[in-house]
Amino acid sequence: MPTDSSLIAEFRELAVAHLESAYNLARWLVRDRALADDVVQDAMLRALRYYHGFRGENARAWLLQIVRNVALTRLKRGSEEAATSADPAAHVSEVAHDGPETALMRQDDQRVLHELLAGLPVELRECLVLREIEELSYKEIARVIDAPIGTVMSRLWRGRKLLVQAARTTEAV
Amino acid sequence: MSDLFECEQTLLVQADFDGELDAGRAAALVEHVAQCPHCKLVSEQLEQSRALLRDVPRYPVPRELLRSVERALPARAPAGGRAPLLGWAAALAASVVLAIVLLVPRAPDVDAQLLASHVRSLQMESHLIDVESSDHHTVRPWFAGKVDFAPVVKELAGDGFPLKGGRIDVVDGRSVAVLVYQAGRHVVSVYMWPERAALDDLSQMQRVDGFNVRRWVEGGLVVACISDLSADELERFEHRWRAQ
Repeated sequence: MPTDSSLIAEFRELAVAHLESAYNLARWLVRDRALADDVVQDAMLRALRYYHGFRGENARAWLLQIVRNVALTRLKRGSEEAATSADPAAHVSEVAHDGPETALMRQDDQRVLHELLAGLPVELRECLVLREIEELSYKEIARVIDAPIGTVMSRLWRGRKLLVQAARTTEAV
Repeated sequence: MSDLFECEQTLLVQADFDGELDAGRAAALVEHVAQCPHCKLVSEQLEQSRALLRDVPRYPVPRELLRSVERALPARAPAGGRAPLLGWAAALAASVVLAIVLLVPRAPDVDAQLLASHVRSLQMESHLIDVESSDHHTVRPWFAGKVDFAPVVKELAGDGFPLKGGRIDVVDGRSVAVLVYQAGRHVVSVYMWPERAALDDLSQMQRVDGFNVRRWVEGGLVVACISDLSADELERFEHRWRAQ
């Protein structure tokens, strides 16, 4: 952990400025309010630990990359636990854990869309969330998901296509 | 999967749609799309997917999470119970750095401060607005005695930007007037402070971390608006504001 107080203060500015992006990504990845909260806190602590080595280029993509790694590790751990336990309650449903703020947007079309996006495979969903909600460039997305730009492009296209097809079958539009 | 890339230009059409192509390649692509039925379909699907996702929510940060992140990370100076921004601004004001900041125009620094202030005001709902009113006759006098200049307050409700209220903030070590306007789902913060140094009245556009900032000089005041509105929409806001 850095002990230099100005470095910590600098990191704090950055963490607060990008908290919304961090939380939104975590939330869309793990689809659980409490877990997203945990993921972001954990990611921020990790980011602080590595901050002295960070060279100032694109802080948001750097932070989101850490958030994503923490989130995916948690998801993996979660699914391993779920696989070894026979307890059906281990399969936590998104709806059960969503807070009142999602209740506000439970108008039908929005809910259907929300579920369509949430239902996409995680590697496609993350690209769509980063591009369409966070408005990151291809280069930034490539950095966050640690993949070549070509992969970003083909995942984005697959995700978009699936979404349009799914919307058509559920007649959400 | 097999029909996914029927035309090898598919991903280029998408890249153009996402604003990733330079003008030359984009122009060449237009010709191709005009005569490739597959790519026409791709364009339509891209539009559809974006329309579908337009209203998908960006999850708001729970207050407790913001608090715990702030608590875990000490601010620049002991805040002594004050809001973190004030603690930070006070520390800045106390330092010699301030003299340099005031002497040399350092727009990017100011923009970064505007951004930090705007973002924080959104996250601490209680600090978004100190005086809540859509009536400029209420908002304007409220600033009297709180800042040492008379801010301009305009009503833009007719243009789709209703006034929500105002507040005082600290930018660049001085108190500034801030007006808050609603713009659909977004918030526009308009910062104002007197500019003593000569500054060309050129409207400028900056993009800082996904937020757009526009600034200009008007009646001896620097006016800077910041928002997560698109660049086009914020430009429209500036035009409506300056038209009054």
